[in-house]
Amino acid sequence: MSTAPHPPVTPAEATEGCRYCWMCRHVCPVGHVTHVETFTPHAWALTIESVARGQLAWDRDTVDVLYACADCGLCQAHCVTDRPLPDAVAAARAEVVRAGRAAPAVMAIDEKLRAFGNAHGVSVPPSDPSQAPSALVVGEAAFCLNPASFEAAVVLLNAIGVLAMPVAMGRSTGWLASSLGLHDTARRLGEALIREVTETEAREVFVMSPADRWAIEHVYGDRLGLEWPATVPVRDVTSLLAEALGDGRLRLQPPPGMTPPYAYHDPCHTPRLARDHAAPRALLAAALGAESARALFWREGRAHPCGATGGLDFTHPDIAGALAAARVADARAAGAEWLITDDVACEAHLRASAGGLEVRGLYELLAQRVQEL
Amino acid sequence: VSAETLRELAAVVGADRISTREADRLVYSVDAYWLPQMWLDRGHRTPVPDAIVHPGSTAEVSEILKIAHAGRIPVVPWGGGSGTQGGALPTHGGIVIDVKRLNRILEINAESLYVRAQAGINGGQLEWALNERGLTLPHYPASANCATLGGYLAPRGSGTISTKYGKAEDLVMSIEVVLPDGTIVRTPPVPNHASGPDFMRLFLGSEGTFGVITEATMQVAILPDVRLFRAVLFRDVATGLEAGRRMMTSRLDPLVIRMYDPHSTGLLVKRVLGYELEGAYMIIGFDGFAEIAAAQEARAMAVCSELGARDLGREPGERWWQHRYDFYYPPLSLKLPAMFGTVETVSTFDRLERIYEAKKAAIEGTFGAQGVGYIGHFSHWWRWGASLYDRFLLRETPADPREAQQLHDRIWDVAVRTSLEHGGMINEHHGVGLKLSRFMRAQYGAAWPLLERIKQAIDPHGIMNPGKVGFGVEDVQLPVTAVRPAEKS
Repeated sequence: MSTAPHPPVTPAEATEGCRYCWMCRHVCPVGHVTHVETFTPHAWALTIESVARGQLAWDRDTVDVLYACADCGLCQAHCVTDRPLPDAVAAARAEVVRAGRAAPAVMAIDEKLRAFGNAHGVSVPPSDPSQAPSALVVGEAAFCLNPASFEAAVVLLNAIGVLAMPVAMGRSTGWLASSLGLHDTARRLGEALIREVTETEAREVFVMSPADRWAIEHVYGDRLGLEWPATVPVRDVTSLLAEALGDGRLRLQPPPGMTPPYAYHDPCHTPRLARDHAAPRALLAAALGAESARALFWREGRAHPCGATGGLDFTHPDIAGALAAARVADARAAGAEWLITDDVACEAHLRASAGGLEVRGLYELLAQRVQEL
Repeated sequence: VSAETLRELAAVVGADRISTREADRLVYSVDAYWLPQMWLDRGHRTPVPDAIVHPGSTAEVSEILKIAHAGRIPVVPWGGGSGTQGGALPTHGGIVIDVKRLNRILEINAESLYVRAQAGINGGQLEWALNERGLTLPHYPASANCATLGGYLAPRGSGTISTKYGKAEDLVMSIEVVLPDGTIVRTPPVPNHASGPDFMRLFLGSEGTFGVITEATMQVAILPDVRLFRAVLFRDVATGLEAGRRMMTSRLDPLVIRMYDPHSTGLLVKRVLGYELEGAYMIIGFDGFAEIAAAQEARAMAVCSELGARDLGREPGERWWQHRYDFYYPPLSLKLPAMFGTVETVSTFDRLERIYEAKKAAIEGTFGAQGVGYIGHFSHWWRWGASLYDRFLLRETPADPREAQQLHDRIWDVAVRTSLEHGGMINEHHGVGLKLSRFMRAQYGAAWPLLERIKQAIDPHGIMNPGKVGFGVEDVQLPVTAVRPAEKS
């Protein structure tokens, strides 16, 4: 950040400045896999501004451009004046949705989110939370794509003495809907989570995915006008476990023999959060041995997403696939045989592009070490 | 560009690597030059390309140029699109070749210290890859985040540490370039030899008017053990210039000497770095082995002390280094609705102060009543002189775009004429592009026809980036088309 203070900027003001600023291009993952000028932050801002000024209209092409942004937050995380361009993109998408010009894929997701609470069309049990000192946001990916990860997280939490009431079982926290401009749906999902957490009277909430933390900490307030209970902090399970590892509450048994060389993928949305990037690496070093770590993928405080963000896998599967392939290529280039991450959506997305690389979930891997004690 | 040509291009790169979409054409019609931004802002369109093509190899670039050459179709190479001179503007429509798919690092040689990479690689990405091996490409322009390797070379760019490491052109060892007829040419593997003329230099500064740079081999450096920065304050520009001259002519080897004039110090340095200072703020830096850097710094400080400079200490120097690019982020940067232009120049020590004073007097004297201000800093130094990075600034651009352009061009006329009259070159590192094209004949005088003959020999149909670097036109105007009043809804 610059040394000088910068007043808060609205999304509309952001596009005004960003349209002729190229300074975050090097961190934009979409620009890097598409190599197309139109798919870079300044061009998204220019497109939005040009529509606002009547020089372009929201049509199939401009909407396609608008939905190519990953909403990963890297541009804003890099920006020394903190321009909320991702919020501006989300706001423009909401405008497109309101105008009935969103792509059919977006509206199909909206239908699923409204019907099932998740984008996977998986039926979920009705919400019936009981009171607990803490709550664990399961969310949609862990429930729909890999329930074993949720079970592993519970094992790990129990191991450090945390009993958390599962909430949002199979239900999105709203970040996907928000990214796609489906703000009414996002608001409903956010309200449902807030209601559930309030009913549990939890004093803290844990999340398994940085995307969910980002939704609660930023999307609810900045994009949706929702108020998260001020007395309920949100922490991610990974950071909590790393803290427990540090103070001895979590003990992991190293695996027998040599662990294959591994790399760690920071889940999408991580760079936009104040999360200690050393936390998952410390856990892995304890579980697998630091000597097997091959790559940090953390350049100047940033890590690129794998494409499981911004709804790209629904609107632009080619870009989402290219992002996953780029992360897999990073891992291969580093000599890794395992690629590990703690976000189930990332895990599933990477696995689809992994080829011979083994993609593994952090929580399951850690839970195995705890169970072996 | 006809449908048949589009089919031919598609056969080369694939249909999905060509775009004629309106959204793309608009994005590729604007670069970092103030003028097209202003027109667009005021509801007018500047020329757009007919098609944007994304080749993935030098061979594909060659095939595209063969098609363009045969069809007499204008071609504009596009890297990061972050040039400030309008060098990437498709003023005559035609084909924009976006080279960003040419982004592979082909070789990093830690023994001989060079990197060979394709020209479309992003500068920031290339630097990360080198840093991971303990190396650096010591070319740190403000555009490092957004420019491409080819974009470093095409306009002969300078970076913030050029005083020690040289300009991009001093770091390049060899290039591969595709000529307008599709011929692929590779220059000799090393730059310093005696086997005839150094024809690589022809392409450095040609800004795509002689061909498309597709690959470059660049010297790299081992990341230094230390980088020491310190700031001093001079009472005026003249004293600071003398200090810089003494440091350079005594063969000290500073990484950076950067001196802001009092107006810049009071405006930009205050706004970005937060220092309230009166005088000329200078940052001095040395790098390398700790003891050598420290000894050089001590010598430099002795020079400054002799000239009465106030030592501000290490922190104001380090802060500048850490935030050196912050100056280019909105709202810290110069942006619309302001009118601005970097009228930078370069000259020998004996003329620098006069050029600075003359330009300041000319711009403020002629346009001061209209609110036009003048600021400058001296940022790239040689044993013989330095560059003056000076700018004019008007906080509110006139509402009528034609009136705005006329004022803009008049200020440029005065600035350039004053530079030339006092022995300055019309720019040091931004390149010519469209912006300075109309001044090239005056800059080169009797030598200009020679450059035109070279252009004619290499590009007989004049397809390559027409209207740029002074080729093909006497006085290029940016044609505009009214779209509609640009009131933001």
